[in-house]
Amino acid sequence: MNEQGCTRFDEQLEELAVGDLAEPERGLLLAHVATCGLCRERLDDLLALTDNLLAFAPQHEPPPGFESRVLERLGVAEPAARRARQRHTSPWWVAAAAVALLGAVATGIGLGRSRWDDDPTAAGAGAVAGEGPIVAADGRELGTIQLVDGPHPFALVTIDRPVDRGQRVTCQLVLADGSAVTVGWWDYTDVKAGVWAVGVAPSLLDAVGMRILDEQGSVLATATLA
Amino acid sequence: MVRTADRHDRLSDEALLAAVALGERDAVAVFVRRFQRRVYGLAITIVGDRNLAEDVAQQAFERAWRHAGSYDGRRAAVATWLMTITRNLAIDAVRVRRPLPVDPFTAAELLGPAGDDPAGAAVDTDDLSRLRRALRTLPDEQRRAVLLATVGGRTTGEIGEIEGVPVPTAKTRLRMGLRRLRTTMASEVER
Repeated sequence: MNEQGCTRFDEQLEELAVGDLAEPERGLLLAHVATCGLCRERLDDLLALTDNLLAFAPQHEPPPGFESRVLERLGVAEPAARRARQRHTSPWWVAAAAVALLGAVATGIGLGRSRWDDDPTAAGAGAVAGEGPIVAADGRELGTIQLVDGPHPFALVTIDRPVDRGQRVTCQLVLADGSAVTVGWWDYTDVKAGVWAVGVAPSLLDAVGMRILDEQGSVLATATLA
Repeated sequence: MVRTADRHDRLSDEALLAAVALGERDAVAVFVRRFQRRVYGLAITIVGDRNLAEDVAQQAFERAWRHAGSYDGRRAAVATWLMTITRNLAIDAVRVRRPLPVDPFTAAELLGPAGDDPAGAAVDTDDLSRLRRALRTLPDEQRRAVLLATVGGRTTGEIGEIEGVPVPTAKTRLRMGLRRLRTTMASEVER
């Protein structure tokens, strides 16, 4: 770490964080940050801070018809059935999304989670076909699993606490007859907590349980779905 | 019978975004409905023009939709991620069109006393509550500089104009405000 450099750029980190630092200072500071762990850490903190401050922006109702115009812009405004047919003819897109989500096994949870989980206006609704806490063999609660219904049902596994072992873990859904179906796996090398989503067959929405296995097939955690 | 869109209302932000990434049309609609007031609110705050704000807000949802599969929750919550996208697009948009008058309505809202928004406070997470409290402890001029630079998307030059102070003073207020917030937040985490 270059102490002199840190002192020199000390005055500019905040301006960089809010996007108000012009060239060539911006480039010089970015080059410095790339080699200075202390400044990198301070800049990361500042960026997280400035991003989180955006939650205090005033809220405004957009002009009438805004939602429709957005959906039209995205090309998803047509009826769901037609859209679903189009997706079936483009499996690569779904597969790409699934792969990306599998890659997002590492997705940790930050601010603002579950804000709408208690939305009273949604009481009685049920895109969630089944859900339950994930419990380790020693009784620790590790996270939750949700089976979400829809044209493309999926399982959403949220791990808030790390599983103790395993480089690669397998996720199985357990059906009422006791049979288990593997729905996916993820590498656990660098992952200690995260959200993992994978598409599942509609028939698996009736699953009564879930289990996570290590590479040897030992059960690391289970969930009862209700 | 419950409509699919209604059923998506129950999902957490992360689950909803996962459904968006998987191509659920109704999930996209719910996603837009859930965040549109905040996205449009931030856009109009920064650009100060209703037509441009709508375009920015539409672009923000389009970008979120395209990149839903690569969202990384370790870096930020879904709402924070989406608002950051919106801010960047809004700043890009106004930099093409500067100078713009400061909309007195949005400016007044933006500069209101932080932490006195019962509606906002009701949906705060713990972290946001801490940040709201920390913001409230800042001297007024520092809090204004911080909010104008972040939520308002203003440069320090513009903050100087709005506040009637030299640019170096605006820079100092911004710097001191952010440093104080960072220190306060760090000390709260350590407690």
